[in-house]
Amino acid sequence: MKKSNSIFAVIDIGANAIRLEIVECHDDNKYTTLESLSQPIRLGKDTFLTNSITAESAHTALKILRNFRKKIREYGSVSTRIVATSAISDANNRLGFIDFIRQNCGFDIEVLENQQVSQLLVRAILEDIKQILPEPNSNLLVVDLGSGNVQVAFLHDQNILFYRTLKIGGLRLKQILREVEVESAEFYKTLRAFIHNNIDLLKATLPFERVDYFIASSSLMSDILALLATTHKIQPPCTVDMSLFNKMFERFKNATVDQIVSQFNIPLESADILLPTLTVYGYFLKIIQPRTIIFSTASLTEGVILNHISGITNIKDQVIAAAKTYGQKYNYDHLHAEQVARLSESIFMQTRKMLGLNKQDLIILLIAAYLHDIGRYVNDRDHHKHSEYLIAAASLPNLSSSRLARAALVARNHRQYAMKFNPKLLASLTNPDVIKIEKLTAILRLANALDRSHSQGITEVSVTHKKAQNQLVFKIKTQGNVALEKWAFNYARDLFQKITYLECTLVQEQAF
Amino acid sequence: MNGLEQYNRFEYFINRELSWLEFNYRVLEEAMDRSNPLFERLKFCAIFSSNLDEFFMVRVGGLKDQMEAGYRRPDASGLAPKEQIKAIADTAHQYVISQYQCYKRALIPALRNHGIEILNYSELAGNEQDLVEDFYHHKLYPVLTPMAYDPSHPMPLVTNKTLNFAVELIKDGEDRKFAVVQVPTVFPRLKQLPSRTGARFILLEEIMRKFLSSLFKGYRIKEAILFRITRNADFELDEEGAEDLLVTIAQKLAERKRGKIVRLELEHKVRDSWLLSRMVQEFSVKKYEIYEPLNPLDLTFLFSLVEMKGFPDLRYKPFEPRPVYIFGSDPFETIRKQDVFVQHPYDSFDPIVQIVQKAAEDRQVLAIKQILYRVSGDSPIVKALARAAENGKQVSVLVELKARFDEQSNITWARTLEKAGCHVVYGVIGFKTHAKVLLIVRNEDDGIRRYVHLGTGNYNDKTARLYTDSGIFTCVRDFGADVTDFFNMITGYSQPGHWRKLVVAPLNLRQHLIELMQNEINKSTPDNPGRIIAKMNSLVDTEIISMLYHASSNHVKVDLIVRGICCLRPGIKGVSENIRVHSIVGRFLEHSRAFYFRNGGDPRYFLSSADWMPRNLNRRIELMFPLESPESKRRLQELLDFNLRDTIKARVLHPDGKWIRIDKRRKQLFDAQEAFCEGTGQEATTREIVFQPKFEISAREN
Repeated sequence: MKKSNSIFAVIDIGANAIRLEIVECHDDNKYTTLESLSQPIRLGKDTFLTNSITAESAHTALKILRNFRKKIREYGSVSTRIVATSAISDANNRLGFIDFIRQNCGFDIEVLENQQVSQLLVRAILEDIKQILPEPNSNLLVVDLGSGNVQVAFLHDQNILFYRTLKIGGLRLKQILREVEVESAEFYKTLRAFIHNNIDLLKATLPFERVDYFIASSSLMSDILALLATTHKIQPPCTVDMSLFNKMFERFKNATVDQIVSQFNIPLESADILLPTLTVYGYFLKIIQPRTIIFSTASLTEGVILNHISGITNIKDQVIAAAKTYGQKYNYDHLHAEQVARLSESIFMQTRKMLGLNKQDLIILLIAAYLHDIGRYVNDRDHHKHSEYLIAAASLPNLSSSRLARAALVARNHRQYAMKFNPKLLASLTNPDVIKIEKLTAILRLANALDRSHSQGITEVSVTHKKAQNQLVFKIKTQGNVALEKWAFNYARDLFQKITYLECTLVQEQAF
Repeated sequence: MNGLEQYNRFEYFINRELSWLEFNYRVLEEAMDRSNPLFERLKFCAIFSSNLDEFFMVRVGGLKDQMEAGYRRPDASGLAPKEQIKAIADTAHQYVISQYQCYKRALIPALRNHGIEILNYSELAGNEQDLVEDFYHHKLYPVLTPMAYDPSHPMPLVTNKTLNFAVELIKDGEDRKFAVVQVPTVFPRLKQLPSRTGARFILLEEIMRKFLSSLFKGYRIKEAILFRITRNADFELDEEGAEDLLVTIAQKLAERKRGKIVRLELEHKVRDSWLLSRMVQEFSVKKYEIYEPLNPLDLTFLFSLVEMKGFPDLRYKPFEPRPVYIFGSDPFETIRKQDVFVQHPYDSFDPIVQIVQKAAEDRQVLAIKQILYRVSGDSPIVKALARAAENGKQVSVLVELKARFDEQSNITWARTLEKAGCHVVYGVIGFKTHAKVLLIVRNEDDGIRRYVHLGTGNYNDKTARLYTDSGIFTCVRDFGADVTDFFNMITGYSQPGHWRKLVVAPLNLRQHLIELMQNEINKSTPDNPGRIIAKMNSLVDTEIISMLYHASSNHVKVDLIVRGICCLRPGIKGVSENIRVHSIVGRFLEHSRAFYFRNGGDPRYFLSSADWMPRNLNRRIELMFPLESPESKRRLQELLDFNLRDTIKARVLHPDGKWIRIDKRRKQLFDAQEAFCEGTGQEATTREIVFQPKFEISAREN
């Protein structure tokens, strides 16, 4: 978290450019931009074409980063975060590149996962458009077109319910379709088919029909707005009528790169990836048919800055909202899931000190609690195993893939068998990690047992540690018959007892 | 040029070279003007000469290159390079004759009246002749190097702008010889003789002439002609291949010495001379490139004459720039409270020097960035920047090496800055950086604050006493952010961003100017006409001129204050009848570029480093910036108002391309520069400036 009036720098190593923002953070969670620099370098061209970053590009990147380091040093000792996205994460030699930069420039590059990118972008975009968004609680579809990836996020009440990362960024598409002559009619046809194919796959998972507002953002946004501004300047963030966009797109789609540069006054480095970018937007808009589009120029760097200033404030709510949406997709028993999650959180909060768990662990537990039964969608038999891979494959905001894998593991073990670990995952875990997973699993098993009948009969659980008796007493308030829960508790408590060396007992207190 | 094609007619434009010659004639008129103190008249006479030297080296040199390359395309006024060279020669010959008439008939007699004489050897007293002879034999003779030229010796290199004797030598039994002796530049050209009253001088070449035969023992001098050549010094830099701009510039400086000859000046009229025919052949000069009789050659020596001590009555009354009283001891505090407008030389240049000096020592200052184009030889700003770097500040300086004829001195102090630890950037490849901007980044109690100075003139403490320039100090956030981005762009750290306040050439300045003019047109009606007032050094760009014609055709009243070249032709019915062009040539060199757009009654004011010339709008990095504080706007309005009210030094351009002094009848006599010197500029001026469309005819003086 930032200090008052501290200086913070963020460098974003993107597919098409490296950017630096130096900001001054203020007490009111606001910031002032001191420097905003951008240098074009197509690292993505290397990665998307050859799967690796060339030596020439690495040296150019180093030169830019050294210049940026000089710039940062003008402000003395500055907290700096260097993030990289698809151009680095998709490169086979990313570790070598990261080491090369560290050795020669001293910068530690942090390669962001898709979910982080999505979360950071959405955060920046929401901040950017908050003054012009008519109904903040509505359903929003945010589509950020990067050079490497397209981030698609569906939001309700400002929480990300779904997000997807599509590998159809402008530069990547240009590289993928490089064999088709860029300025031929064939290129546009192939491009459109390729894009449609990718976006169509989303139709099954994203509730396009529920979208209230379509929000577009892109590093090329200023160029797009320049194209739109035929009669007057358009200052982002702004809403633009669909008809205006369509008119512009029709005018633009058959233009050659040279024409784009000369007629539309677009820089060359943007011109050749604008067509793929606009085609992606065009298709989204065709599906969604919004009356207006909200354009934002918010960027990843702004998301990083906002996170630095105020941290992630509603991470739990966001994750839960997304987990519920994911559960709905697999027809989960949402009442049971919510009851298990509620009881899990209650037990967690009352035992966390004893168990040495923290807030981050709670999120893993809650994901597992909400989604532990989604494997039933595949088959009731061994549903816990199905739940594991379905959770691991989910894209949930604010949750890294490793944490998601842990949640999947906790869910996998919610049934009363001996703990089973995915060997690949186990190899990546430290002993304390393994023990933490066992502890979370132990809580989930108790909570699940306490709604064994899926009838939400238990209204409250309080946990008391009787030290003299080495006993942990779970006192429950109930409404209705909880015989099955009592029975299940006796089986489910084994793991908890094994971990805590305490005897777990259940005491019922009538609610009425 | 949408809709502007109708103005693409030769008769609507004045040739830029001829317009420049007219400007130089206005300079000469100041030498002719008896109301100016005598030494100042001498200075104007010398400026006329040095201006003409540069004009021949650059402009005529460039045209000659074009002509020799077979380039025949006419300029906006319809003249092809060859025709321009001819027209230039016609006018230049005429004006040089006027200059020498003024020198001989007005200036020399006037000097003599004050006991100041420039004498020939024969006019010296006996003891003076002895002294001169002694000087020749002991000091001058050892440095003279006569160079003979015959079939076995190549023609010696005659250096640009030096004085030389061409000598025809005869010896019995030998073919006649051609020799060249350069008048050395290591001695002052003007040699002062001891005198109890007044001042007596002899020119170096006169001493040499007397003893010339001592250099050619055994030969007889049949004829000796003093001459001076001017070479083409207009070079193009191939920066793409230039690994080190510093080295490339140094090489080009050496090449300048060997440029083609564009002018031959002779001290006497020479006819049927073997020497002259040899020179014409060797120097490849055409008849129209020979200027004669010019005795003495090269009147720039008058600069050194007026440097002599004493004679206060022959100079302008001493003038001390006003201190910028609101600056106080803490300039940062002052700027935090309000923008500060400065107008040099009437306001002291010290605040600019002081703020850099203070920043160099200020513990809260993190970084200083500045563009230096032409600085003085012993610049306190350069010293302060070096000191700041030594004190651990991040100092970035963009040194524009390509500032013409200042390249050598730029290289020298750029290296000084580098040694002190400054981050020195040598210009932007392909562009000359002409913007004048200073940025100081300060870490204050309430956060980072950026202090900016933006101006129209170079950071040169010496010329700031002679040139009129304006600028602002501000710490308004958007200016700070823009200037930061601007430095990041020109130092190669970042691509251009989106500007909040600044307008930047070659990115958007041209477009922005056109939009401002279009806005005036849009808001203009016959009853409520739009209004543009633009002050600059030169107006050449045909698109901008066409836009001004377009504005005039749409009832917009346009006042232009153009010191130098003006290719716009005012007063053409239906095209430019609403345009009036003024020019002020006076004690101070008018240098500020300032603009006013009425904007339907909500005026917009700008200052800029850029003239409205293609090179400034297309090939230079320039800035235009708005004035936003009421006080800054008031000061700029006053500046423009005073310039337009001038009846003493102002001339008005007439449709025939001639500049005519203002008819003073029934008008209050008003000298804008004088008024600013006297501090009348402190009075509030808020009224709208009235447009006076009629051309006033008065006879050209002299």
